[in-house]
Amino acid sequence: MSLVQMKDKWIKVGQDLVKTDKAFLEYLSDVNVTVLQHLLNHNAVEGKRQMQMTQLLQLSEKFQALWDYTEVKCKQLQTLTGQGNVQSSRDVYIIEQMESIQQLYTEYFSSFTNFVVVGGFDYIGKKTSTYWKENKVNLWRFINAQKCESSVSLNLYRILHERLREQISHYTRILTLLTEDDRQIVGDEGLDGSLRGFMDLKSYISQVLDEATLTKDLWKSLGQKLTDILCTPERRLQEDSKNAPISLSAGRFGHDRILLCNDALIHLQGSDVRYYDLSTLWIEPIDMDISESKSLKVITPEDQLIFHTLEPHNRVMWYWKLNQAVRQCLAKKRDFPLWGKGNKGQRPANPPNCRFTTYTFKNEGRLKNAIYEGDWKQGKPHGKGTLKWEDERNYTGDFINGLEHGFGVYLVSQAEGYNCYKCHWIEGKKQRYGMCEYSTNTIYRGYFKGDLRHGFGILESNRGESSLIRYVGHWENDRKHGYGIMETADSGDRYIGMWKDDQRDGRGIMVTQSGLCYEGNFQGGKLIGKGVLLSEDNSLYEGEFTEDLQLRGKGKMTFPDGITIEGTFSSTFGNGLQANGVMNTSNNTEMSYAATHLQLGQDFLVLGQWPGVFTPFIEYLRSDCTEKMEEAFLGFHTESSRSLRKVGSEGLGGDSQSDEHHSCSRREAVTNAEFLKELRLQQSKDQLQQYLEKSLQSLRHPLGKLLQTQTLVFQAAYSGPGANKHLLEMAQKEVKYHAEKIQEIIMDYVPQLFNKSSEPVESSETEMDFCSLVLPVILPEFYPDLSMLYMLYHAEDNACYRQGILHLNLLSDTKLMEFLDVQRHLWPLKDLHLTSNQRYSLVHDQCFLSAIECVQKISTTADPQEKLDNLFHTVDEIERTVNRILCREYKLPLDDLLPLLIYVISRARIQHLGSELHFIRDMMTPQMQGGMVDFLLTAFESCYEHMQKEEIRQGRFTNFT
Amino acid sequence: MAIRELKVCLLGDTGVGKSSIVCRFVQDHFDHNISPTIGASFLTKTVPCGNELHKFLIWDTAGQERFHSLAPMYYRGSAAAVIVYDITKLDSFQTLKKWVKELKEHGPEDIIVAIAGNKNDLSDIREVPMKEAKEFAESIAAIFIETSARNAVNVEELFQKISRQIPPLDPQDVESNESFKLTRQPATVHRRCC
Repeated sequence: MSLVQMKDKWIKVGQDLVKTDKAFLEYLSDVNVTVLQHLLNHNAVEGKRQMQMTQLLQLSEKFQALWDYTEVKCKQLQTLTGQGNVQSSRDVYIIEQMESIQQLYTEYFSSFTNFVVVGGFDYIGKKTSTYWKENKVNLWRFINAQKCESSVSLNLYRILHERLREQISHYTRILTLLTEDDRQIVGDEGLDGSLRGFMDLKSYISQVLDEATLTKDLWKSLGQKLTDILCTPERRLQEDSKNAPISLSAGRFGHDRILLCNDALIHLQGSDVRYYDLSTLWIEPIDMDISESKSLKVITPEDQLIFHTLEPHNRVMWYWKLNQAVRQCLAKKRDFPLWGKGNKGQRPANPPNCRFTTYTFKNEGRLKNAIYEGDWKQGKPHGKGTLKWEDERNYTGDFINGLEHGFGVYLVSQAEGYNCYKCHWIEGKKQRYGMCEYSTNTIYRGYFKGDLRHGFGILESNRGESSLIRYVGHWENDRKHGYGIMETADSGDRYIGMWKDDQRDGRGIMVTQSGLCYEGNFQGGKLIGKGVLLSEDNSLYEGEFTEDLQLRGKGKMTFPDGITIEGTFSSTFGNGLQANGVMNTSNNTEMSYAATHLQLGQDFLVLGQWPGVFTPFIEYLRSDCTEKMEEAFLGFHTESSRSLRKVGSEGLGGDSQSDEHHSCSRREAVTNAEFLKELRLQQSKDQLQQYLEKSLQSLRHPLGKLLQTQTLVFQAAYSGPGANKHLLEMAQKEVKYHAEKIQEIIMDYVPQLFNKSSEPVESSETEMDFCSLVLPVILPEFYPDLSMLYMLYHAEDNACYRQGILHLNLLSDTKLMEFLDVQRHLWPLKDLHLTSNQRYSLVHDQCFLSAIECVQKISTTADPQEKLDNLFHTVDEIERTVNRILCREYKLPLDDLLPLLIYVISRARIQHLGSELHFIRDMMTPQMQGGMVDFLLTAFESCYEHMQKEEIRQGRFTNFT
Repeated sequence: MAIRELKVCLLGDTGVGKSSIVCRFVQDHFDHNISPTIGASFLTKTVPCGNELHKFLIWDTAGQERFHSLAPMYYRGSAAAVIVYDITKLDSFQTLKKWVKELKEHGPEDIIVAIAGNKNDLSDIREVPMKEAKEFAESIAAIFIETSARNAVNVEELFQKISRQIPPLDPQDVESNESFKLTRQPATVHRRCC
């Protein structure tokens, strides 16, 4: 075919189309004026029939849309044809825009069938019958006279749809002619597609019309009452048990009636109507092998329905129809055409097992009247969703098999406000880590078991509350139980000890803000029986107590001046004391020293004190450490500002530093993914140490999180205004306990690193491990609070030491060395370069500088080993200086070393030397006894001791001038 | 062979040669494992004794009168104390007596006391007769020996004598502990008569 011929052909198509469209438009305009507008004029508001009129209005709207569209397209095409510009399928709008046309027609027929279903034609026909009797012509001109019906409604029905279907046939005809005419056009995808589209549209229209008629007939047959309940414009009958028998009661067919609609499955029995939303129906798959089975299982959120059929083929048919209806209902879109073969000839899929939808529970039980919106699977909430109960409780989160499982937020309405739980759930119960913000303005952060607080947890008042309480400890069945610490802010009291049923019960220590503290057995919240009481002025009472801290019964009182009273006491402490007994006035300083430095909590079971902290961690390790489970086991760790605080080596002095820089550097965390695998790879102790440093200091690493919790429980007992010197030993043991626990955990994963040293020489190393390995890494976290306790413990001797230093520092270098009996040939005067008018006697702070700097470094680290190393270097530096002076090697005996050490220490002016030395000694292992470390520490301690001596403190340097 | 660590502390006036004796003792034998020391103030030396090895941890003390009160910190937990005097200085022998008294009152129970009269090579200017010293030592059931650190006389013997007085280990202790540290003697031999 030549190009000219082609062109002619397209122009002809254009002309054909314009012609049919023009005729169609004429018809539409005519119908509009004479029929549709007239019908709309009858739109008198009549409450009962409003549904029909609404549908009529919508119908008219769709009618207009279709009309407008066709008009516009027709005009465009006419212009194109006039210009001879129709050249290919792209210029023919019914090919190019087939989908829009399809859409307009589909919408029109939806409205149209809706109007049919609600009985609109019957209604409007009756309403307007008088008018039409008078103006028969107006109706008849649209219908072929021979076929004309007697009923007005039927005529209207025909007028409003037949011509539209005819128009589609015209389109199909034009397109078919095109394909038949010429082979070259065959294979044009657009043309083929639109032809198929119009065919589908044709069958779709006839299907929806049939469906609508069936539905309309159904409503008519059911009677007014049921129709009122069940009839909605959009609802269409899909299958009826009258057609294909099916029943809920086997063998009694016809007793009940089952209607499958496009949105619901309806079960009618007598006057009882049951209605099942299709979106929450699951049809149990049919096992095709047992094809003779006649029953069908349908799962709803609250029921399982077994349907029985007469014949197996009925079952298969119902199964198929149910599935299709459910699928379309979920997709919120009807198939096109209806009951077709599905997209591209594939078998339509069954509805998904997992879906998102809303359902209101009706049956009695915990979910009555609750609304669930979310993911479902096989009839149960499963996945993410929200459940709202009638009583304003609601849960948003994970579900599995119909129960809360995973993480979820749960709100319970209270008299005032809400209790808000953010928890992990297992099978409908709060389990593992979670938090709850109570309406009473308190927050619980910790573990749950079976819906109750259980295990380790912290309960505290919200910030800004007047009466602050804080409990850090163990719980059982929602009550405080086991080891725990309670602090009350207004009274400043802190209780450390055992709990039972929300009461202080068992071994416990009470520390009050006034400095009073007591230890003993508690019962029902009170200290009863034997106990120990210490006042701030270091008076000590050991003996019987009754309620309200009455010292009543046998006991012994030791006063700070060493005077003791032993006997029977009555009356309250601090309120005038009455005693019958023996008073010992022999000023026994040892007794008062013992009282001042008495350590409480000695018989506490420090080991196993915090099972609630470690058990979840161990469980987490056993659960393969998936990242998903980490939070459930280890908690959210909304880190407090305290735990982020930079650990200053100067104890409290360093606390005020900004924590920004610190938290940043710590956030460059190692990710926890497969951290156990990584741990197992550690080959040597050095590697392990590095690994531990990295992971323990990371806020996101599981080990780091564990350490944070450890720090938190430690601070609860020993930090803040309740810090008490009588708790030093307990605190120190607890730090070691935490280190040991971490070590125990690690040891299981890298046993090879711990068992190597079986040779006798290294045997001490095995025991030392937790000291050398874990302790230095975790110590910085505990150090500020721990060193505070050391300082409190040493407050008195430190004051003496400071006085001593003060006086010694009044002396010049030479005078001081002379005073300390340093042998003259050891004076490092050669090192000094004096100007002409200076004299040695005026020199100050010049000798042994390197050693002084060395010893000063002990306050810059929290690691006891590093501190110790600094002490060793100090001695080395002294010896090096001496060797330089003597120009030969000289090993210093203590006769020479001790005075020099005192000289160096007094010049170094370390703030808390006693605490530092005590700290080093406590944190080193006991094996050091008698060894070099022991000796070195003893040497420094003896210097510290010496400087507290009265003669130095008073500056009585009389015997030399 | 089991190693036992024995803490030994040195007492005595300044200048009597406490550290000289120890330095001599430690240096005389060439030791493969040079143990770390703190100047001449802390030294160690291991010697065989029977089927045991005795590792002496030797703690020096400052001899000056003004530091006397610090001594308990040093001799606490010692298995043995070596009190040194200078045979040419009577004063140093008087100090020795003070130390013996103090140890008896405040020292560890069952501490082994050894008295060493040093500078044996200067016997021509001797002020403390050997007999007097020996009798004193016997009266308190102490080890007595005169030494010369300069000429290496009796230094070895001094420590051997101490070694011999260390009671052997209980058999079950040996089994349970391969290596063993000992700072304080279990109460065994009743040596103090008065």
